Amino acid sequence: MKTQKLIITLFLSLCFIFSKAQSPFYFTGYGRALIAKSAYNENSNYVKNDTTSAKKSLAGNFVFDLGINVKPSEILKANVILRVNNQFGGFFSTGSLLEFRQIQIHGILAKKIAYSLGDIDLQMTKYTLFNSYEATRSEFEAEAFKIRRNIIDYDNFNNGNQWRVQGIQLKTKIEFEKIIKDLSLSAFGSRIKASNFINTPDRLLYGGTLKIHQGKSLDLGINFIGINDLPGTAQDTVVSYANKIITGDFAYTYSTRNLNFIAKSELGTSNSDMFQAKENKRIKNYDHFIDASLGVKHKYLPFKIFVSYRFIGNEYYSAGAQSRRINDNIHPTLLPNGLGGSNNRNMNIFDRFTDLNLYNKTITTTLSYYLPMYNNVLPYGAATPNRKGYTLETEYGNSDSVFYAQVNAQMLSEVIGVGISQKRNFILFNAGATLNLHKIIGCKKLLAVSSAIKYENTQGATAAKINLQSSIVDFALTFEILKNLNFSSGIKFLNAKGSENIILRDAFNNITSYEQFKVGNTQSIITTGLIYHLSKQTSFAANAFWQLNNNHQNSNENYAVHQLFFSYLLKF
Amino acid sequence: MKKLLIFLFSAATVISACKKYNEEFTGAPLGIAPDDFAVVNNSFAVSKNNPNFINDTIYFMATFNASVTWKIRLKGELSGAIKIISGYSNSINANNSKWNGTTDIAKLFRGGENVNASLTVYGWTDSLTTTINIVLPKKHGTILGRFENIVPDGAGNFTDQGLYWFSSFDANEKEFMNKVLDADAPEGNYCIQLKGHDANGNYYIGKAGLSSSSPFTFAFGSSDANKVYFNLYVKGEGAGSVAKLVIETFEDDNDDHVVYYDNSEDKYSSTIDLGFDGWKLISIKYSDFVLESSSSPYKDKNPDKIHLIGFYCGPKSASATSLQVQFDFPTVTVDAPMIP
Repeated sequence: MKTQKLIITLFLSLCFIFSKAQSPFYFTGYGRALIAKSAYNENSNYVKNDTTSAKKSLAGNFVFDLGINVKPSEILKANVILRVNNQFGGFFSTGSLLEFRQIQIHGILAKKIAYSLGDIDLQMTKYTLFNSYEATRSEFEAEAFKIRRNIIDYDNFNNGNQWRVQGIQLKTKIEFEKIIKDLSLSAFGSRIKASNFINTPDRLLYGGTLKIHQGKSLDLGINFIGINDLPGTAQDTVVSYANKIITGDFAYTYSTRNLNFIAKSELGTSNSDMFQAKENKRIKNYDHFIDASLGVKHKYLPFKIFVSYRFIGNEYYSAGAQSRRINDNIHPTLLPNGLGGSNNRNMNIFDRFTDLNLYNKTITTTLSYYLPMYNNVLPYGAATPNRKGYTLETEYGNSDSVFYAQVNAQMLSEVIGVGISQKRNFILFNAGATLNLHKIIGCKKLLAVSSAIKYENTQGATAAKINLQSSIVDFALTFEILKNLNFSSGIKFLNAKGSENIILRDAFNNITSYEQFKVGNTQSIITTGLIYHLSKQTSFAANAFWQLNNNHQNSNENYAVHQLFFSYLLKF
Repeated sequence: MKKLLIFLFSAATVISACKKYNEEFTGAPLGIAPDDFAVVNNSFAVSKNNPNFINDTIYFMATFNASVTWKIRLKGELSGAIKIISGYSNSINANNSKWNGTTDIAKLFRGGENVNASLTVYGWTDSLTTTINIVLPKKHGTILGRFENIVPDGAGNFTDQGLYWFSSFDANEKEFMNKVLDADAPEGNYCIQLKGHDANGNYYIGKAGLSSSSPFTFAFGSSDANKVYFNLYVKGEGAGSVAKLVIETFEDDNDDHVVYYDNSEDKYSSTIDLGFDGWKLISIKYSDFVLESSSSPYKDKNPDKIHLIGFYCGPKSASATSLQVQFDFPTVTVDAPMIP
């Protein structure tokens, strides 16, 4: 601790001296203060007559991230983010943590190659390296829900669909005068796991992309990504993993006076090699995928429509694209127990966007556990293996237009049956719309309503009792009462019923057994409150949340929880 | 455009030709019970109700009217140990349900306890049960400590399994080598806790050690370092762990019945990082231990010459001064790691 303090002091001193000399030195920051007061409704079956489980909680923390940026020249930039985290109730830094949150160095080599070292954010295509969103997220959900999600995203480094890793990234772009306009090349290498010489090996992630931009009509790309465990860095009982994926993608645009006709596709193959030295057991997998779509975009109206077909092989394994952002087999931390302390509460839709501990920050090499009620059709994102079928996507407007709507409808089936010859069939319907009413009535103050629905239907063999339906409905209302002061209200509602077989896998990704899953559950989250935007990057919010959980199969698990939540968020 | 379509068609053809799905289905058979499913005579039995797992291997018996996925869940009433045996077949017999007292979790079955065996079938709402009473549990190599019925010497040391356990520590740094009650202890109810504060910042707090007195060196049953495994249950502290546990061995290489701490004989070690959650069985082959006494003239791992074994704890970094480590059931096995 003394050494850490000394290093930080020295670093800050050097930065200060340096800033006096040349002023290449500037600060950025992020601060937040959160307070959440939560309580069960004491008449809830889940905690009624329960004298041991906590029924109320008051939690909060203060976080301040200081970004220290140094830019000594146009070709070199470095930043470090130091975090001070003080739990609510700490006094004069009691219980505080000071830690390095991020270290980055960016530069340009020989005026041609941009490089980044340290903490880097990576994203490729949906089938190679892609961090898919949590299943209950909606662009059309209430602002109060978005505030909670943004906190989780920020703390987990979930910048869009990128994965945060430590390593090096190189990028370059070459422009041409004839035939093709430009060619860009990027490559990266990182260590995504550090060995403990017991059950965790050193794991490397590496890859690159070559993009050729022909001009107005044609784009071509080749993508490669690999994962390798270093031999000898874990005990011989641990499965050593290697995964290599190569894909090609293209987009071709044919223009008329008003319309752009677009054809785009990505196809590729995966090779996996898993080896356990102790039992000398090796399993190799090979499979492929294709995703092809045709669509039309209007040049002057904000409208587009695409129809696509995709085929993802049963053994198409792509750890970078199939790792889940959330761990579905973890119990939540907010008021975790009930039924006399003998029962860990199962997560609900509220926990899924408010509980930092449920989130996964690393790329996982096996297809991890998931709860079908939240996302049974595509639990591993677009790259979910063993799926084929058609998708219709359409969009009108944008978030600033009077009317903005999106529809995504998918009709899919399994490529091959799982555990039984009869295949599952899936329907996924996802639609949402925002109506900016203030633009219709000519009011300067914001008045917007949004709504969204996500419906999933899974049908399988009758004998296997696979018949599951779930829907998540969002409704949001935002009204600007005074300048920069918004009244925000919203509902998120989940209804799930039916049965499914959860697929369980071993360390080789083999399907070894199944877990029967039966659900009859409705969950509602209602929120209302005020949000005051002090500036574009600073806001204060006071919101109330009511959770209602009804388990129709076991009424002992019914409960209601209310929470008062205050947040102050600052960025500079 | 024409060239592009040809390219696309060719690529799709090549890709589609790459892999065929000839199997009827993928994964383990679902084996769901049909509507008329029945267990013949409603009988679920075990070959021996009171096994002595030092010698016995038992099996279960049931016959079905269809091939189904079945599961037998065995749970110890006292230990909470769990063993799952599962399969896909139309009968349960000696070929597919043998059990020799092993466990699936970090809890060992105990001698004298009742084990409830429950048979379930996938998609069948009923279950059948039977009870087993374990006379003696499975034997696991040379047991160095169980920490259940220790004999204290009044000076913080004790005897267990006929072996003398002593503590050695930096002055003013210990609350050391405590026998502690832990409901999750893998074997029995107690385990050893090493706890302290690295006040002098030397990455060392103290050590729990044991030595062999008669004979002077341990008789594990092999002199081949590639065949001898040190096993113990260790309680992890999660990803933010600040502590490490180090196993040390001191050999009497010159057979003079004295172990020297001045590096004139071989000393080896293996470090365990506690960056995992809960109790975990760790098995380390003696040949994977690292030489600590670089000036020793011998430099040859001889498990049959080990006189003293130490378990010491310390912080991983200088800033982590307060820490604790818990371990249980250290054993040494020959030919293979401990199968719990």
